[in-house]
Parts: sequence; structure tokens; C-alpha cells
Amino acid sequence: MTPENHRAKAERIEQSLTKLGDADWEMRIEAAMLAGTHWVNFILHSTGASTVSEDMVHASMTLVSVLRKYSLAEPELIAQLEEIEELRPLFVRGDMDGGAQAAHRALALLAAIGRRARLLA
Amino acid sequence: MKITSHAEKIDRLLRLRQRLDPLQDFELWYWSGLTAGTNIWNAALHAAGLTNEDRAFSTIPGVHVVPQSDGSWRRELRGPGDVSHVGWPAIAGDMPEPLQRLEAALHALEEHRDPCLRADRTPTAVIVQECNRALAQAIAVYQSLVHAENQP
Repeated sequence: MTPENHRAKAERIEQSLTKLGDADWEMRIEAAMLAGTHWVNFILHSTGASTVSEDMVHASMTLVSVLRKYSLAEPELIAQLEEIEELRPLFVRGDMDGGAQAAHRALALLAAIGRRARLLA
Repeated sequence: MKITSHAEKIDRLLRLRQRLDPLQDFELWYWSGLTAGTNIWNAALHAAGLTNEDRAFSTIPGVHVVPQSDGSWRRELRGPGDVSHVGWPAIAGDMPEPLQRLEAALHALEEHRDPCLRADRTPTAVIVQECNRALAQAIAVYQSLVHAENQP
């Protein structure tokens, strides 16, 4: 996908996020993953670290050697996306206590990713 | 994960889905239905005795995140339990007809995931209708297979 389309998807998801509350922690975390991944692709494409034909779907599913490359290019960004992804088995697919707090952390991480992206936009 | 935990998530996710606009909020509207659908799949498989209800949370096939007694968690290699998506992994053994119907409905729902969420396909009213139809079929099977006492 082009950087512009990644940005448009991320911004649509961020807009929908305003309709969610503390009881919607699964979708807040998933939204952070979805929008965060679009922003990461936007940044990697914009900086030339990846091409428009090399979209990342999940950091955890990315070829190790490729993820290493992205981490060299954008270490903080990739660490933030990985932290969001680590919340998913526990609070989205699992029933650990503290889902609302985990979602707040996911949104903070998404905000940080979005700030980095908007510097390039 | 326990059927009751799946049921609690299904209930909240479906109520959230109703608050979202299917086209304006398509990504999260779709994803809440998809996530409810996966919980329906797991709850139905547990109820049918095809997978276990262990409190082990799915990641990739064969790897689960398991809470520990001290509040921490660890990854473990485990057998059939919760799955992260229908078909991932496929469930071994003979599948009763209602579960086959549920599986087909969830696959129909999943077909819109990558094109609409991770590629350039623009959601349409037709896609919304297809998603609604697939999820309605899934909910109908869930309500017939999972005992009412397990549902909120």
C-alpha cells in the first residue's frame, strides 16, 4: 500500500477510536495494533526502509532478518509496536485482569507512533 | 479459555459493534465482529468437546500464553485449545454439521479482513451486508450449541 493509503487507514481507525470507552479494551488494543501497523508502514515506506510492496502485518509475524532491518531503521517505533502486540494474547484473546489499563497503555503507544509518523507527513 | 469468558467478550464486542457505523467506522466495526466470531468459534469448539477450555491464550498455532499462579505468564507449546482465527490451525476430527456451518460463516467473514483492513478495497454496503449475514449465521449456531447458562 502507498504511504498515503496507510495514513488514511490509520486516521480512520483513530477517528473511530473516539467512540470507544474503558469497557472496550479489546478493541482499543486491536485498534492500536491496526492503526499502529499502518503508521509503521507509512514511516518505513516514507523513509525508504521498506517498499510499498513490503507491508508489515504484525511485527511478531515478520521474518526475523527483515524485522532486524526495520529495528535498525526505527528501533523505538518497532519496540512500541511490539509492546502493543504483546498485549493481545493477554487481554484480547485472554481474560487477564487489567484490560482497561492495558488499553490505556496501548493508546499511549499508538499516540507515540502517530507523533513520529506525523513528523514525516 | 473458559466458555464463560468467551461469552462475556462476545456480549461486549457485539454491543460495541452496534454503536459503530458500519461504513464510517468500518475497520473497528468489522474487527469487533471478527473478534466476536473467533470467540464464538472457540466457545463452540469447547462446548462440542473438540478443544479444551484451559486458561491458555492463543498466539500462533501450537503456542499459548499461560497465566502463572504468581500473576506472571509464560509461553508454552500446547495441544488443541483456543485458536486465534478460524482455520488457524484447522481442527482435527469429525466436525458436526452445525460446526461446519459455523466454520463456513466465519471463513466468509474472514475473507474481507485483509482486502479491506490491510489493502485498498473500499468497504461497501454489499460488504457490510455480507459481514452481517455471516455473523448472524455464526451467532445462530453459537446460541444453539452453547448452553444458555454460559451466556451473559
